Amino acid sequence: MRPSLVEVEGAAATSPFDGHAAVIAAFEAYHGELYTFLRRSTRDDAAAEDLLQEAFVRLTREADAGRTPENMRAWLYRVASNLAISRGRRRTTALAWMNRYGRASEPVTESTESIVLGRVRTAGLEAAMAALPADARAALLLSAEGFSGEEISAAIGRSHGATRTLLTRARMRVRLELERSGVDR
Amino acid sequence: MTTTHDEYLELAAAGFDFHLSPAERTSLDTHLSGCIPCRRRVAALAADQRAIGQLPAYALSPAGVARVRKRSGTASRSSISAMRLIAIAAMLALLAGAAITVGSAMLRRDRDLNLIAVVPSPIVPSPIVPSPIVPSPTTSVPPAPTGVTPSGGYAANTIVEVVVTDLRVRTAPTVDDTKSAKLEPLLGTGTQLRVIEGPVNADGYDWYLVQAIGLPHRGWVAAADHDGAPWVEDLAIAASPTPSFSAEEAALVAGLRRDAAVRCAPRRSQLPALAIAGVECRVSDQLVARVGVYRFRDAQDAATTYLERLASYGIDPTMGDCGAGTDGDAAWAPGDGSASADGTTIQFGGTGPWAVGRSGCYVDENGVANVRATCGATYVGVLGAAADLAALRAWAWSAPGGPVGTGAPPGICASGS
Repeated sequence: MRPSLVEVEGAAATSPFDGHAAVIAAFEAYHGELYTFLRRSTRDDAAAEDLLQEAFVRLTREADAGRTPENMRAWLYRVASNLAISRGRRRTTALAWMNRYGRASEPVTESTESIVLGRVRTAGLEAAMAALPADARAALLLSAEGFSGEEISAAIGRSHGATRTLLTRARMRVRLELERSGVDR
Repeated sequence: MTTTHDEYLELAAAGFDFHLSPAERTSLDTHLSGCIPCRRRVAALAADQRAIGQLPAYALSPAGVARVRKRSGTASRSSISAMRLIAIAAMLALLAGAAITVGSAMLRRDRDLNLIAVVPSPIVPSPIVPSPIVPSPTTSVPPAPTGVTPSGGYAANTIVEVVVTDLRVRTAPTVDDTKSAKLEPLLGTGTQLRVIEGPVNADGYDWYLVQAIGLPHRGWVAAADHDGAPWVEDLAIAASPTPSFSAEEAALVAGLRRDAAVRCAPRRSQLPALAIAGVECRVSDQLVARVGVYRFRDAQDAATTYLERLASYGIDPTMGDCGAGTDGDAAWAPGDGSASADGTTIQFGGTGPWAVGRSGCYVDENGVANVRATCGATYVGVLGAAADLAALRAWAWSAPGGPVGTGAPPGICASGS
């Protein structure tokens, strides 16, 4: 279980001006990880940028209306999940993802993780994730970000039972795909 | 693999995100205990979950960031930098008398008024490296931004490790409490941090925006004290390339007694069966070589692994006396011989019930002392540097606050879990 994070002395944003500052702070803090989440969810650079923009447009709108969310990171992931899933529904999942994957933007750096996992395993995992429906992929990414099953249910707008089934099947599909492709025995 | 096996595998997969009912848990445990291929596949599912969390990040181009910032209204509404805007917001709260003690507020007002006067300054060179937000109190004109990147500065995405006992994370790169909130708890030695941006030089410190790995802390830390003695160090420089910790791995490190949690690295291959995460720490002194610590789904899995390991060295439950220097095992938690339904005992090899909280020792095939212990769902292995079982056992059991009381876990499990 993650420890709770207590802000000892921070004053809650109340005025629209404070709210705007909070939104800017949230952008600086979270746009990187949200872009990664959206890029991996949508498998499309331009779509990820558009949805990132839309998420922060909505956050700005909330703040301007004096409704700055208390937990901005969770709020942003919820909105980003909805946007990615809605987009996924509008597109056929049979999109030629392999082709697209081949031309995908390279990850930022050769991180230590990718060295350990090995490029082959990383690519295999990316491909297995890419073959999932948008909602299942978003749910797996949220889970890996540390959100609980209950939080994921709320983010993707499904019941606990449906989310549990969705996640379980997604995990099994990824595993089978890795085993089938020989990336992992 | 048959349908029945698949059903249990699905149950295990569901357990990653949702609490299983006691009935589901019992049924799953029973099946896994008799199905080695299933245990292997569950471990693979856990490895997949970790791997997904460690997929490399994608970066939006700087031009893309600028576009999104502009179109989403998250660009500041004047030419001032985001950091300055946050400082202004903090100061507005100050002037409104919010969340600040009166005395310190009165002392700080002049400086903050100076800040107001200099906010529209056009000399901020870059939104990425903001100038210090605390101008000198002796002038109403802001000092020129230093923009200094000290030699050995940390680039974005560098993994650094906390090398002091307690490190403070703040919401802004300044020690001024009116502009920067403190995050609690402090970060302990060995916590790994991913550098997001920096350095920002302010108040005599070089600050970096970081994300703690496996912890929710995201904020600014000072990289060294005023004399330059490091508070964080680059892992890639300090050692061979070391992967960052997953949440479970970071929790394992955090659960160790501090003098055991040194030079730790994740262990991701050849984990004990059923383990979901592992970390090895190189203590490397005259008494202790390494400490391995492994996380299981529950205390019963950890205890089963422990008893299997001891059995492989010919040690049966409750035999011997490690404190006296002979190979052996003992329960530190109550439960031996009395069946319980709450998971505090296990059956092992047709014997039991045995308490899940145990500690034991043996001399291995290399003639080196080993101590093993379970603390909740964690299994700890201590590889000694010599043959002295009693000394190694004493080290594993020592605790910062004095002797460990009856029924308490060995001191090496600082958190007891």
